[in-house]
Amino acid sequence: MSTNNEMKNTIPNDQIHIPNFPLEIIIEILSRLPVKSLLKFKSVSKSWLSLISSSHFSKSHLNISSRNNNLSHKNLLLLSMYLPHTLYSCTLYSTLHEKSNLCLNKLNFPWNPSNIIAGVSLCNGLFLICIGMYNNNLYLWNPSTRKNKSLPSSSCTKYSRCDVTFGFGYDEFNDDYKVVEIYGVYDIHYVYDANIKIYSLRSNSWKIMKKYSDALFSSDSGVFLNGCVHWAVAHNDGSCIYWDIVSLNLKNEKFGNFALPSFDGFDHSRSLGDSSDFELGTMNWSLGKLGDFLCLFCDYYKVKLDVWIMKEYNAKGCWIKSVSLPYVRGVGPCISPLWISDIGGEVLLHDGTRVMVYDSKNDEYKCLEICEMNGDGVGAATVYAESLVSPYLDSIENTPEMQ
Amino acid sequence: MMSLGKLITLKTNDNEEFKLDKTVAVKLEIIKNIVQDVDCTSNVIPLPNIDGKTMTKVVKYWKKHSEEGVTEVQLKNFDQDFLKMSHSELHDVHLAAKYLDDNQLKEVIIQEFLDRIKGKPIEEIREVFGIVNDYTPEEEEEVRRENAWAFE
Repeated sequence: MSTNNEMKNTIPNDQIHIPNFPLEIIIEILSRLPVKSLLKFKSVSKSWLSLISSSHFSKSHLNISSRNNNLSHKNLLLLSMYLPHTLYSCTLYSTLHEKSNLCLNKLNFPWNPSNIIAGVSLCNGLFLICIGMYNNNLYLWNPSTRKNKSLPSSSCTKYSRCDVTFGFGYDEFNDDYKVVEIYGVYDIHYVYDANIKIYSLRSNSWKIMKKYSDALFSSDSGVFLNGCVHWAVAHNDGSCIYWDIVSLNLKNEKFGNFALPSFDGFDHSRSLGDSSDFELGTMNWSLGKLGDFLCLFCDYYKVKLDVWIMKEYNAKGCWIKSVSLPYVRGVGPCISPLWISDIGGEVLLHDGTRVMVYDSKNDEYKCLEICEMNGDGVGAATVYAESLVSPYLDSIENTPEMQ
Repeated sequence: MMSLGKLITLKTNDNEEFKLDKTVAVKLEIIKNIVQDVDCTSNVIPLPNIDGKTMTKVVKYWKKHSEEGVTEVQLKNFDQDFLKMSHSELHDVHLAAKYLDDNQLKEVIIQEFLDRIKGKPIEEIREVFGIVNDYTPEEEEEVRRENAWAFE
């Protein structure tokens, strides 16, 4: 292997002497390239093939891709609204700068496009996709490299998808990707127990964890940040129900709790599925992630959506209200922010059927024109950083030596 | 401590000397550290990893970029001219900038390399980095086939 990693310092015949480029500089240069170029550059030489395939390089590349302001290495992924789905991607740079005539790439589905997508989680450019409502079809998929892997069944067949919540993230300590599957069980007293299974990509197997008692995990997929997956959870202490954020540390597989900020109109002890859910201004919140921050999206039904950002990651919850997106005529029914500019002036969002950019300075929405989707509507959208991370972890031992 | 003179002399590995205004030189982390840490009464700072030819370029860059009243446009034009050098010279300047811990210059060089390889065929990439193709034609064909969509 080591000979493959040596950069050759001889060049044919009469050209000027070209120095031995240290691997370090090569890595610095290549780390700034989009994944598509890197896949092409695998054919430069054997040493470049092993470099670009190495997990060491894929981490260095990811570091640069995942910086929030690196628009050229971030993509917007768009899923058509109706079955069979179509899937498109587009760089975030062109999304924000060429709001009309977007140049979209059509992506092939690694699974049957007529199936319902029941859940999606994202970590390091790798997607966990849950397909179908009643079967256990989980895929890891990297849209940048077009690699995908079907995961073994967790054998949780008794419950429909509706009762199952997923989480997905990276355990840096063990250099492993993990999937968390949570399914709620309740008895006649409406006391929920969350049954938890964790899948490790490295061992390619599931294991059963201890139950998490008296808690109902929201059906939204968990949000991965700082080595932990986070979910919105309702707890039942016997007399009332209260909400907080539960985190699962993927390294030691221990749970933690995060307090919520006290936001307007939030009744911590409101019962689940209250009939007032669809009254004007009634608040529903969900967890999200913008840049490197954990966020709360507080949706005041048809009035506005407030974005709260956890500026410092700690259990006390250092929450700051960042931006407020008004529901004006033609926007809605349901805003979900996808990306926010560093200074918070611009927010890219999905409003339920379209992708828009909200300019907070001028209090204006601009709708993205997406001709390819032919008025079908955008059913879901997400922003991801391009990465070389492989759903097979095949190149993990293949770390080039630094010269 | 350094004596109070306003000039600092940088001496390359081939004994070329560069006199620099102290206010320009101490902008660089590494020189600032040497100035602070070393009892350097002679005001001469040795640069064992850099040759005179390369240092001439680096100093030219520093001087332009610390000129008073220089406009963005002037700097842009200067950079454009400055970067007109061979791949290997560019590489030497990058190494120097790295040794001197000059992130700005380093970034400029990396960007230039990126511009030089952007959209180029594989053969030209090899040329820029001085890489010999060690694939057999069959092996190369196979690697290309595996990533065929990236060549579209």
